[in-house]
Amino acid sequence: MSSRFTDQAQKALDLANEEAIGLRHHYVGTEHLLLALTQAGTGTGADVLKSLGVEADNVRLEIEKLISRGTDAVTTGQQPLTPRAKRVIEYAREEARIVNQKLIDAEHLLLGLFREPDGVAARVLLNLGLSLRQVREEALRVRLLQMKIVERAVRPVRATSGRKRKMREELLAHLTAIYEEEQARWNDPAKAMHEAAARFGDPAELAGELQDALPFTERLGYTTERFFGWRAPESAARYMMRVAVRLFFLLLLLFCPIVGVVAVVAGLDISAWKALRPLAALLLFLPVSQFLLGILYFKMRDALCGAFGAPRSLSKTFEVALGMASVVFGLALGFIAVTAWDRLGEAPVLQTSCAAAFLAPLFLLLQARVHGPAEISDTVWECLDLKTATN
Amino acid sequence: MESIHGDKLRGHLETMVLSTLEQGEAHGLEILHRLEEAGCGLLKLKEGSLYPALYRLEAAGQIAAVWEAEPHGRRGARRRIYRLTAKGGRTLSAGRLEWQQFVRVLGGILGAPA
Repeated sequence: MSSRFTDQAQKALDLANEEAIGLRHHYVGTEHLLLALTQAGTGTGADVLKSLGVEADNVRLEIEKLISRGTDAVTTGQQPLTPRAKRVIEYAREEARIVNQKLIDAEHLLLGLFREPDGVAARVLLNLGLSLRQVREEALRVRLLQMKIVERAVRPVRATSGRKRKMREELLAHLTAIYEEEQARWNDPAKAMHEAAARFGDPAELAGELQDALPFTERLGYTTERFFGWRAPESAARYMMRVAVRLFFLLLLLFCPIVGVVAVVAGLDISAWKALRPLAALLLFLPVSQFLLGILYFKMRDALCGAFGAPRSLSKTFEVALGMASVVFGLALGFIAVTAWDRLGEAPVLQTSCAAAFLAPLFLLLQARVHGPAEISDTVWECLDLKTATN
Repeated sequence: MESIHGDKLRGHLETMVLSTLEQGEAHGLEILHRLEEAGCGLLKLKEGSLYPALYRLEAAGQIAAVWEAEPHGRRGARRRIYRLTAKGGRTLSAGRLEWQQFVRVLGGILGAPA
């Protein structure tokens, strides 16, 4: 996945490269990113750094204390990023995604930087008397406050998740914009946030107004989604268990009439009942496969997209895909075994099982790729603890 | 001069929004700025409440919205750009006539010049 940056983020990256060249380092590390962002960053992260006294000059000084200048002149051009710097960009991408932004902003680069405890940037901050945790909490605090205000307005609304996603994005963009207007006026993050919240209005009231503005179809969609959908903050396992149970009873409901018809028509004729074996097998195997594959899907999605603190891992994604393939193969054979034991060794059976074992993980991988980022973002929003923010 | 509070405005908010969009398409914040300019800052509207009004207008086909193609300026957040539809234009004209009549009638009753 290619990273795309806003103009300002790109400028910061270019500046980081220049700083690296200026210090005659042959690489761009977290320390150069920090240096660049103290000059080119905007938003709450940059405000936090400024208010804590972290500026380009003292950062550069600390870098030189830790890593001496290189001796040979470095040729111009893009210096390679260190693995940690690359990780910072990964974290930045996640931060952008949580607020549904496709482009990575300088603000996200800073938040990403604050998540990397092992880089030189963290040591520089430590030498300047700041723990990474402290800086990160400060930078996140305003962002969290903004998100919680928006979530207070959106969470009570009965609408489809797609609609809610759009509302969150639009309302957060607005709130952030007026916060920045106020910050430009007062140059005090706490006051700016207070003013912006006052201008925005009471989220609880807004929730009611939003509900009234939506058509009936949204409420219907909400109820439908909620039946089979994830409910915060349950775990993936619990979610899949709940769906499996409901699926089981749904299937039972669908099969009852069929069983009834057979009972009436065939009475105690064994062969007729034997023909129902596939149905019984489905009743057993569908919920079980859904449960197992469901849990594996979430593992795969999180490994593919990088979520909830864990970085992206293509090797783990592949491992989970293999696990899925085995599960599908096993279940397919199991299904055949129950319904038609004598056919188990036949070539078509094995071929179909192999095909299914190949296609199922591929399909789920596609799902994870396409819907994963939005799902993860929704999860973060819906797990926000709305009881704790003070404003 | 006392400021006009949100409650008195809520009934007319949708017509006002249609009116500002007549000047050209805009996103939420821009619509609010236009309203503020036109109302000389006397309108005390809770900004969040603009969006339910916009969503209602959109559902009624009076306005149409698209996400902007390129994120504006330095920040990456996308905004939705709203514009007036033909239907919205008609509703606006009807709303204007209604308002003028309202002012005439009430003005006559209250003895205040329109």
